[in-house]
Parts: sequence; structure tokens; C-alpha cells
Amino acid sequence: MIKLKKVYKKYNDIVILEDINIDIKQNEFILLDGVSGSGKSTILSIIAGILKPTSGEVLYMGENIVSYSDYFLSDYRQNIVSFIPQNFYFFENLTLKENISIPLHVKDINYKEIEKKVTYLLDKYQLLKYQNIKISALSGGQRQRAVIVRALVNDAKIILCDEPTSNLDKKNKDIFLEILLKLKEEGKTLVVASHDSSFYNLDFIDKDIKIDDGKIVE
Amino acid sequence: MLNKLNLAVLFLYRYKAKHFGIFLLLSVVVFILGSVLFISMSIKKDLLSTLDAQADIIVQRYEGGRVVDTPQKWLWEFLNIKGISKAEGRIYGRHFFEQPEDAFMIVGIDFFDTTLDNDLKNLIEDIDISKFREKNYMIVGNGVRKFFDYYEYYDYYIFRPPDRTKVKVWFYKNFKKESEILSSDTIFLDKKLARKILGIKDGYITDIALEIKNKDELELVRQKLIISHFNSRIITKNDIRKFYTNLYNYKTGVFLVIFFILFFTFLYILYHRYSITYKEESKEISLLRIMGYKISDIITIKLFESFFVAAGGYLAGILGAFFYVYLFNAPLLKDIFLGFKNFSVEPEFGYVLDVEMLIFIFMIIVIPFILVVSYPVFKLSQTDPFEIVK
Repeated sequence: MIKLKKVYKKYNDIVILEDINIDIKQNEFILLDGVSGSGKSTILSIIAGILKPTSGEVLYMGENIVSYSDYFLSDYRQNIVSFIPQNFYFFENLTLKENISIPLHVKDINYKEIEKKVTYLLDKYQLLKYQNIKISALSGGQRQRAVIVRALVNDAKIILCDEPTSNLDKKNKDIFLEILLKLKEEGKTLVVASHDSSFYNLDFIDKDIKIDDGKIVE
Repeated sequence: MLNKLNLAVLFLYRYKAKHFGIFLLLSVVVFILGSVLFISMSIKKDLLSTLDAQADIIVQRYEGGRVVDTPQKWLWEFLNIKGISKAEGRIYGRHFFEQPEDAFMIVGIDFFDTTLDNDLKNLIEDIDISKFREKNYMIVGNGVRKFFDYYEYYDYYIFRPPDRTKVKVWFYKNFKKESEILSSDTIFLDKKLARKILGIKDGYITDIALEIKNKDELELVRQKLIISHFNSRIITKNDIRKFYTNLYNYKTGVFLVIFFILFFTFLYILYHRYSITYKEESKEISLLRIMGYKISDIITIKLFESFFVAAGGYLAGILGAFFYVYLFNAPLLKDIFLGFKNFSVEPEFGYVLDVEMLIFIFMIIVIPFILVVSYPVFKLSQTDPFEIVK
């Protein structure tokens, strides 16, 4: 589904990523494992089309997205991948429902459809009763589920998560892992960047890619 | 597009306090600018209509450097000068009211002679002459009417001519004019009655109004008049225009001061808006980019957002200015523009709605506001959304 071929990334002559080759198949769960600053977030950003590699190819369904213009990369992010940043950024002054609906406002669908889709997902992830509450008033666990719902609302095929459990307690981590498992069962492709030991030895992880100093080590 | 509009409204709602602050400031800027322009338009229109109604040349007699009554025989002498098509002797003057200590302009009208003043022509057309001449009647400007009402003269007023007799004059009706600034302090009487009250002797008139058929000959006629009547003062329509322009010119200075205050306030608004965009919205713009929003989508949403604030502020300011000037008669600003004691009565600003002026205010306030706000958003939306990921 997505292939990274000989991807290099440099910032001011400092090598961030070096010769990254990853093959992500449909419905796979990939764990990018490495310490902070190893380059995991950079790989996720390159897959999401947020960042362009200095050299190398990122192939989605055989097409090199590196050559895409910003216009088409926006479409790619709108319909194919959903990126969950580390700190779960939200529009803090808006309600949960309003936050979830934002990815849909850019699409050519009517208000009723947006409402229907958001309500369905909020219900599925037990957040419906909080729909009219300001996002800033939600707990860490609720925000974590909310960020998943926001990532799913545009029917993305690939979910990219950057350190999704870093600010969660044990109970919420377990809930989150369960959600990830369900998503995999539903056919989503997941790429998670984390150095949280909770992910180790999970039987539904298809590939555990170790990153160290911008290179794949295992 | 509707979804983007919805989102723009949502985003507006998020920073409602700040947006409301900007909206208010913008409204005040537009309100003050709008009020000043409404007032100046009103004055301008009144001046133009007054000038249009004036005769081409007014001749006054001078004695020892002061204006004195003009002999009526001059009328016939002037009619012999080639180029003058009509001559009219006018009776008018400021009448001082002793007790309330105020003065109004008394103007005499002759129902059986053609007048050169278009305003008077219109006034006479509306009058039932036989009724008006039944007894002593007067037609007053709205300002005079208010003045008399204040002192409880509802039906009549007793004038005291120079011979100290008493002349009871009844109110006929108020003088209606498109604008009331200049006619507000005027009382119209039958010419004979005006002569009596003002104490103008028979055989004399206040001055003479002349009509020149060929306007190109105006200067030539003026020279002929000076030669034939050395002790006369010749006032052309252009002289009157200059007089009124000078009267209101110094207000331009006041206007400039107000405008500069407005301008700096406006700069502050823009700076404030600029800062919000840079400091608070950069992460949110990155988040929108990560969600798949194109640069053009973000700019469209931000344009809608700014447009709502700017257009709202503009409308509120214009409406406020409209009601302030035309409904409440522009307290404070009126004193600046008309002077505290230029008029002893309350002049009313005539209603003028100039679309060009409204567009002008929109162009100098709303368009720059939207452009300046859009520029940082455009710059931000092009920056790397990876910043949010790090």
C-alpha cells in the first residue's frame, strides 16, 4: 500500500533519516519503535505528506507522492491518511462535536451528512453524551478517544499515530490499545510511532521496526 | 462553500470576545467617519441647493463703509443696463428678540411679483394667498418653530418694530426644505409686514437681486454696476459660494484631526488582528493543513471570518452614524461643524444617502482590513505544518 524507498531527510546538513525502506501493506499494524529524537515522527510526517524527504520515494499505490503538489497532498491527507499528532491538538474553544466535524467541513457533503457521521462515531466510541461539551473540559482518556474519532471521521484508510499513549495512565492505555485492535479488525492500516513498552509483544502488531539515530536497525 | 461558511462562523465564535472587540472598534471608526461624512454631505447639499436658489447678482448700497438700505429707484436704473433680464427688490434683515435674546432672519415675500429665489418660488406655490393675506401671518423655519414653542408662543407672536408699536403675527405653517441648516432660522412675512417690523422706510429696500440671462456676461454686468453705482457692493453667486466654503472650510481641519485619530485606531485594530493571527492561530492553521485543508481553503475561511467582522462593523457603524446624524441630529459633532452659536436655533441635517460615499468608506476601511488580515494567514498557511508534529 505504501512503500518508503531509500528515504533520506536532512536539516541544514544534519542527517535526520538515512536510507529508510519500509513496506506497509494494507491492514497491517506497524510499530515504529525508538527513543525520542530517533526520527519516528519524521517518518510519520513523510508518510502523511506533511514533510518531503530530501531524497527517496514514498509510493502510495505505486505513485510517488513526493512529486505531488501541495494541492494533491492536501487531498491525500483529506481522504487517505489521518495523522494523530503527539499532543492531540484540538480547537480548545469548540465543543467535542464541532472539533470532530472539522475534517468534514472541507468536503463537499451537506450538513446533515456531517451530523450523521459525527453522531455515529461519537456513539460508537461512547462520547455522544459529551458532544456539546467544550473539548477543553474533557479528561485525558476522553480526549484520546476524541482524537481517534476525528482521525476516523474522514474514512481514512491509513491511521498514523505519534506517541499516542505518552500522556495516558494504564487504564486509558489499555482502552486505547483495544481501540487500535478494533481498527485493525475493521481493515484500517495503522502506523504507530512509540517507545512505550505497552506496545511490546502485542500479538496484533505485524511489524516492529526499530529506529535508531535515523536508521532502521532491525 | 456552505461548509466553509459554517466553519468560519464556528471560528468566529471561538474568539468571540476578541472578534467582538475588533467589531466594536471598527464600528466606532466607521461611525465617526460616517457621521462626519453624513454631516458634511448634508451641509454640502444644503449649500448647493441654497446657491442654486440664489439670484445671479446681489447689489447692496454702502454709506460710510457700512451697508444701508438701497433706494428702490435703483431697480429701474438697473433694468436699463443691458444684460440684466430681471431685478427684484428684497426686504429682509435679522430681527433681535429682546427677552429670549436671540435673532432670526426675517424675509419679506411679494406674492404679486416674480421672485428670483427658487426656494421662495416653491414656498409661494404652496400658499393660499387670499388666506395668508387675511391677517398677519408668518411662515417659519423648523428651528424658529422650536424656539417659539419653547417660549410657549404656539399661535402667534407679538413683534416690536422700531416705532415700538405692537404687531401680532400668527403662525401660518412651517417652512419645509430638503435641508434645514440654513433656512431653519428664517421667518417669512408679507413684504409690507416685513418692512414694518424691520423698520425699512418706503422707497427703500434691503438690497436688489438681479438675473443675468447670459451667464458669460456676469463679469461685464458687474463692472457696469460698479461704474454706474460707485457706492454699491456687488455680490455674485460665486462670491456667496466662496463665503460659505470659507465658513465651513475650517471644519476640514477638525475633520482631518478626527480622521487621523481614526486612522491610527484603525492601524491598531489591524496590528491587533495581525498579532492574533500570528501568535494564536499558527498551530490551528497547521492542524487544518494536517487534516487536509488546502491553502486556498484556509484563506477562504479566514476571508469569510474577517469579512463577517469587517462587514458587521461597517454596517453597525454606518447605521449608527445614520441614526446619530439624522435621528438625533448629531449632538457634539454638530457643534463642531456648525459652530456653537452660528445658529441660535437647532438646525436639522437634511437626509442625504450617497452610495458613492458608502462605497468610499467601505473601500478605505473594510477592504484594507480584510487584505491585511489575509496576508499573515496566507504566509502562515504556506509554512511547514510539521512544526506542530515536532
